[in-house]
Amino acid sequence: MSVSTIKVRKIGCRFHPPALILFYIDLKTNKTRRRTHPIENLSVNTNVTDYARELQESETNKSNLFKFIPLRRLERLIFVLKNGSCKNQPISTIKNHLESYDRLDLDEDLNKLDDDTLKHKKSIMNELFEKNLVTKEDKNYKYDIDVDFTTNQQLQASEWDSDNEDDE
Amino acid sequence: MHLTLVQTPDKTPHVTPVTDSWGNQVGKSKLLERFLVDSYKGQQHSTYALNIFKYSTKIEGKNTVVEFWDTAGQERFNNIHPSYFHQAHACIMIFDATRKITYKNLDRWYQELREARPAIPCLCAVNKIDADLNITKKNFKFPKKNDMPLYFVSAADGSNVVRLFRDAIRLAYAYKSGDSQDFIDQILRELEVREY
Repeated sequence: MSVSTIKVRKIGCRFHPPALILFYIDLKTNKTRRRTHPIENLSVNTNVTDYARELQESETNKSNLFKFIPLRRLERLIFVLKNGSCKNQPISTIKNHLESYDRLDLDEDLNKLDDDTLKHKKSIMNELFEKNLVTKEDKNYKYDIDVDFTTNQQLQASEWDSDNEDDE
Repeated sequence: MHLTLVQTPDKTPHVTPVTDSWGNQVGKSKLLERFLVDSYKGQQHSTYALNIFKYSTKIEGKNTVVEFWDTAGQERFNNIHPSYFHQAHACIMIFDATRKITYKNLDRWYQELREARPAIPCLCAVNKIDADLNITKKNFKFPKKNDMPLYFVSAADGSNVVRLFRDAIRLAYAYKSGDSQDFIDQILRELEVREY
């Protein structure tokens, strides 16, 4: 099954028993279909990002539909499932947690986060990286790119230095 | 990120500088990958919480093997084991153009480095300039007060990445060859003038 033959409509999850539910249109027949994928071996110790990535890359299932879903989206769903299905948290609690889990706070020291959250924040940062990425396969790729930013412009002192906590 | 070049114990003509890198999730591994391109792949084996990458190049006509050391997340435990800096020949300190805290943390990392390696040459780089080009119009106290050249780089689009690593290798080599601090200062000044 290729990208051109299906169109993902929506994806959600079910807590008991845990499953991801995917609605998509089969473009060959123009029919809407539903796929229920049981989520196994999920526990309070599961790393969300690793689990999501495995789902996405799984080769055992020939028609793996998860490869059409952005990683960040899958992580969110697994996060919800882990908290709802394994930790039995109420929806309102999960919602709050999900919001901070899925937000990149630029002032946060990422070194202080737990593994699970850190990996997800890295996925979020990776989205931007992928967006601006120029690879060897791109026509305008050059290995050695020198850019001189200092010519013809006056450098201003960075406001990051202006805090009084800074020495001098 | 910090990059270190480490001495080989033997007397063979090749250097084994090690660039190890630090960071606060600033994209150090991605920078290394951008520099090494194809040779980055297949080299990732994590032992002792660090990844070592080998890079062959010619310095002053001599075949040289450079080793880059990349931490595998140990910076998250707030300090880096001193053995990590052991025998390092140069260091790159990297912060993230989009996250001030990574810049603020540099002072602490730098202190730790200097306790272990008081004299190795250091370079400073700000990564992810593709996400915020305005940062290239700024100057920063940290590299200035510690006499480091500053590089504006992007692991995503490749800006100045190769330049950064080549200069680091050059400085590491000068240090390893026992060139005087004067000479290293001279190179540093020359790089500072160009400031990428």
